[in-house]
Amino acid sequence: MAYLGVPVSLDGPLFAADNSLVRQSVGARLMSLLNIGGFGLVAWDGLSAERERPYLYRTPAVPVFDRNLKALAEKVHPTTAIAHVRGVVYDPAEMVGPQNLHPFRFKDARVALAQNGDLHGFGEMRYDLLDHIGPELVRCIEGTTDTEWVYALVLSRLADPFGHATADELAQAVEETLAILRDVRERRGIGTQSPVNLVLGDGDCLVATRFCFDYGWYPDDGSFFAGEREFDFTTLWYAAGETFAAGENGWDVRYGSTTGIAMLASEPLGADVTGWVEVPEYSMIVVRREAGGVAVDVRELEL
Amino acid sequence: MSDPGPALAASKLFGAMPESTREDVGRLMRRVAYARGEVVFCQGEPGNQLVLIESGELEALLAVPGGQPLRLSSVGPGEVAGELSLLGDGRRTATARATEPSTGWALDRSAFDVLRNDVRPAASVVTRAIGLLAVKRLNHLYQRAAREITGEPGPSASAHGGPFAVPAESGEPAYLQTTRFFEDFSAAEIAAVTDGLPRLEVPRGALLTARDQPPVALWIVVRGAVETTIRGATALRRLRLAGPGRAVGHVGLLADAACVERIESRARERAIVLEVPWTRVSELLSGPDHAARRFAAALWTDSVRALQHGERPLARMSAIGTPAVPPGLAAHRPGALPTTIAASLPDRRSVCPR
Repeated sequence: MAYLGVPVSLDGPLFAADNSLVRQSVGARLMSLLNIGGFGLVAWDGLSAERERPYLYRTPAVPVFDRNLKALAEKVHPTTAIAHVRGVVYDPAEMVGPQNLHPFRFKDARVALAQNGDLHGFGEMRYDLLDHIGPELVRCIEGTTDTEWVYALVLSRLADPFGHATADELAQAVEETLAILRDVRERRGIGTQSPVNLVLGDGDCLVATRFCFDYGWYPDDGSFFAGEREFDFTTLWYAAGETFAAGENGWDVRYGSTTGIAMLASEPLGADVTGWVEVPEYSMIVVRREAGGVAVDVRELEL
Repeated sequence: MSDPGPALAASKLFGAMPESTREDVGRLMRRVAYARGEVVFCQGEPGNQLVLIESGELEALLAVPGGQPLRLSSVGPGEVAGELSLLGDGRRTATARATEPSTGWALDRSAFDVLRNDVRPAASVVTRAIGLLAVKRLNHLYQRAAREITGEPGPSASAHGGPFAVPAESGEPAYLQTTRFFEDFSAAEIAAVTDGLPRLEVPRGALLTARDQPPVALWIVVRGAVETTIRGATALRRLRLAGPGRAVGHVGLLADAACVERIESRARERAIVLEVPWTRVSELLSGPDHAARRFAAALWTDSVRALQHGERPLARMSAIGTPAVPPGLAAHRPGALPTTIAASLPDRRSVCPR
């Protein structure tokens, strides 16, 4: 889930909404997997001191039982947030722990990143990516996930990996990252379906992808993705309105004379799905602040 | 009146069907009545019934994020609403609401499934009628997109050669049974339909159907993905993304009426497809055996799914220039909603209460 706009109580999108992110961790509507590999949140408060510095909350615990998170969500009102529940396949080989939790944010970096996806065969290609990642960023990698490497790749495409980047610069960095991944996969002969739904932000913009390498080439290893047919192209939705707030029928996007907020989620958060728009496959969505509100653009990725 | 027979005989969808078919269908229908303003079904809900209007009128409303619901169309006596829900599996793409006191007959999907499982001809006749309706609407969708996306496109992704024949992979029938098109087939029925058909490998970016060309066959995607797009000078609209178990080339079923203007189908990812020549499609659609009936049901169901996929409310695509607005939507920029519209917005739930 990602949010950008006027201050919002995190309790809504994380807990209170009909299909809130925390509810999705144990009862997703468009996915059959339990997302119990941990929870992470990075959020910026545009009204705080050091507004560019986000607060970060990550725990390998299942968020539905997390009273600390619930208390935090009821109190804070960020202007940008990226929250993630981690779904891992049920396999002892999976590494579940604090170093693998999304969103990733290297120390002092402005940009944070989370992913819904899985780069199949990542172990075979991991070290090929070293050619494309700056040494100061390689040193920051602590975990074992593909996502942290993708994050390092994206930062490496920025003029200043730890500095400010415009929304367009971030979008360009993401496109270049996907092109590198496509190239490395081809060279390694990796041709199995690999969704790469990324969401990045720095407090002033959000960039997200609905993308998949080799869509339709299902793995044959009996894994979750091998059997997923109904929603085999990992989903991404967005909504834009005046606020995201509680109303007569629960938490949802409210409309008015301005577009003050935009939200991204793998599933619509509210009970009324008609306010949510499906982001097309193979595309990127860019949300940025502009005078009087937020602007949303969706771009085709022809990679 | 407790007999749907006259309404069925007078309807556009059922009127031309044999009387025995209408009788079979009529036995499964139930009487419905709606007050003025009553919501019949809501956009976003799973579809589960068809409604044949006998008197009155239903309007179709499309909810637009941040905008006033758009009135797409209306249906009156002799017309049906929600017919795709008998075959497809998507959610309602619009809300249906009675604009005046209305009466009619509802056919629930669960009841229709009884008919389908009974292998009576009525199910095949109705399935074919709804499937053909879906293909015609798909063709109409393509025509509308061709009008909206203007100009000549620049060069698109290059392909490394065109499609080429490959042998069937080992274990193909078992794999095909896991895909949507063949999920109801037995292994023997898959063999009866697919034996002898060419398997083509289509490199990423290679064309199955070039711009302005009608599809020379129906293709069923086995692996990978094929997209059907229309490209203009500054915009692209993807009309269909067909992964495994989805078909490509439905409009070829319409022969001369098919819209192919500036539309192309190409492999979005390297793909393996089954090529079903139109002559073979015709044989299967009219064949009496189980395999042929399975094929017909699968193709018409896939046609409905293709239409539902094409009609999804999608975010616009503007990366390569002018925004492409989803069909049926007025020009609308999510980031800058026209104030006059937003100010007059009713809460959407007042249209579609839960």
